[in-house]
Amino acid sequence: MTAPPRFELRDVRFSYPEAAAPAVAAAAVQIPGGDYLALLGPNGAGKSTLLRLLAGLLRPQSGAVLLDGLPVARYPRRTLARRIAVLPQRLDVAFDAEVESLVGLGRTSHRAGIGALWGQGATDRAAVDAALDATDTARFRHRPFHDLSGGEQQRVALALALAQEADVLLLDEPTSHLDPGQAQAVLDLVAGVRRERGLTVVAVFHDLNLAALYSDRVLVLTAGAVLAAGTPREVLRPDVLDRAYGPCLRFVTHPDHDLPQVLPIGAAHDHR
Amino acid sequence: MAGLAFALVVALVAAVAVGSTAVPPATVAAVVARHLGFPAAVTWAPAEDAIVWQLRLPRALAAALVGAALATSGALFQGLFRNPMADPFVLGISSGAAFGATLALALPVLALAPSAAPVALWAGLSGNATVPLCAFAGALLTATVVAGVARRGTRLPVTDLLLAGFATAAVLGAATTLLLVMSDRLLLRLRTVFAWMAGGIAAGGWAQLALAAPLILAGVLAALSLARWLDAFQLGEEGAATVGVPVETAKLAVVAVAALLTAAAVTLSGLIGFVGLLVPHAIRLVAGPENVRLLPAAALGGAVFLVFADLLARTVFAPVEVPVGVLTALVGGPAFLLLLKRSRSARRWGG
Repeated sequence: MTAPPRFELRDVRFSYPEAAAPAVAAAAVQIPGGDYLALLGPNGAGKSTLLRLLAGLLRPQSGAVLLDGLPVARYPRRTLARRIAVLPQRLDVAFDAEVESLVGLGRTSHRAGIGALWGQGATDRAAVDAALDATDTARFRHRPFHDLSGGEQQRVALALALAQEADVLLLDEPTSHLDPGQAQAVLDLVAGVRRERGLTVVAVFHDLNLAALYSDRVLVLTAGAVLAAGTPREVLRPDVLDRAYGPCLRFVTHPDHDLPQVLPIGAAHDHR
Repeated sequence: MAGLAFALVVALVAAVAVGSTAVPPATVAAVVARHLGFPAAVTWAPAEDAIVWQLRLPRALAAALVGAALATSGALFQGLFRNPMADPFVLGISSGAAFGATLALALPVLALAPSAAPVALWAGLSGNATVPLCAFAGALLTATVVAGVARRGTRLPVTDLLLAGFATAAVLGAATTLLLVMSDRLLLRLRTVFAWMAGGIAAGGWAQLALAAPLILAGVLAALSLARWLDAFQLGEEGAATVGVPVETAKLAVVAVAALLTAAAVTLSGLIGFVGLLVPHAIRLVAGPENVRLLPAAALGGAVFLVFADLLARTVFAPVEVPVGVLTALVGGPAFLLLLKRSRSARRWGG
């Protein structure tokens, strides 16, 4: 018997209250362990909602989201946090915390009892140090989070997620606030850690080109339903993307990596 | 932390030594030691013994407990609402507790104890469990209503929170006044009730501490046990959930403990504002936002702050005694406004 896929969605329907159409209506999606899956689609297609369903932050109204064959809803929060870490679009920190104590929050699910209140155990410290090293943020460890640049903050957010030592990493448009250099730095880190730790990665991407370069498989959503799924070469094609985004793209091949890339058609340019 | 504990001892000794009749600190220490069972040669007048042991020490301890309770509850609300402007007074939670306590005193069905003597009100406030119980219910209900009204989806914008708290406090204040006017039992003791409502530390002696002290100490310990969960709330509710906090349970626990502390403080001393706001804020500047350090430091800091504030309230306008709540509002109100003005957060948290 083969192991169940890491994630499986069975006839999942989810609607936000007072919304006419369901935000997600995914019939059958399977995400094997070790996969790097990019979620693509136009605004409002349900990408982030699908990610929240995987993370157990939202519960489907019908159908089931399974993690290793068990409904995500059945996992206690603490167990789930040791399996799934989430990197949000941007870490919204209330008080001016130091980087190190913020990354330490990733250890919340590993701590138990009143004794855990004082100081960190050796394992917790080691996990925090490893996460800081892996994201090249160790030199900021005593700096206030709010003093860092956007790219540095996102690396700290990644360190927090890595400190959870989960085997699944969910990314919600992790680079949408970053410039091209910072964005690639964060995605390179994710790719490196994934190789090293054998993580399963599911990431919402707004940028089709980054999705093609970094993911193994892509899944295109429109109006909450799966339009297409496959490798970037299979999916990033005019017949799929024109249906998702409208005829607004030109398709080229990356000169260095033999992967599909898209350009805006730039219609107005002809008239200049 | 050791510094704060030392400061608390100094504050307590000062609060017992200073007053219309000054008692030397050495005598204070000796009187206390003798009452605690340590051998000490009696070199003081019986009047001094009474002043120290019967009057000033219980009052100073009451101030310390109230300060600790308010500051801890403020730190809990600030952590939960991710907002340095939160405080049981500003959010209207104290008013909810005061209304609950007044209701218990006004309704003969609920209040079992009070007889005719004015002191009996304080006996009622301390010895009768229905009063703190109703105060607790009032605080819990108010916290639920205020947070419920101010909630916008998953966010809790600071402006909505403060406005909801302000309006709720106004309604509850009016309702409390209505109770006072309607109740003959309370109207007869309006002066006492007024002094309590304005935030006066009750001169109720040891009796009033018997119930409040265990409640407040248990509340502070319970708050400390929630420190790690509260830390995770820095990331917002969704962020806290993803690092493994059972968010609904945690919210309920934090609100319940904060309401318990507020209710215990209000039962002892009425409406004392801004202690829960300023003390955690000041501590956070020094000790950082980690709740394992913040909560105990805030409890100690709140105790020191209120013991000194009550000492000032007793002595500065002597022979008139000002309710300490008036003093904290005179100092804390402007500080709150300054904080609101300077806070770069006002925009960030509101957005």
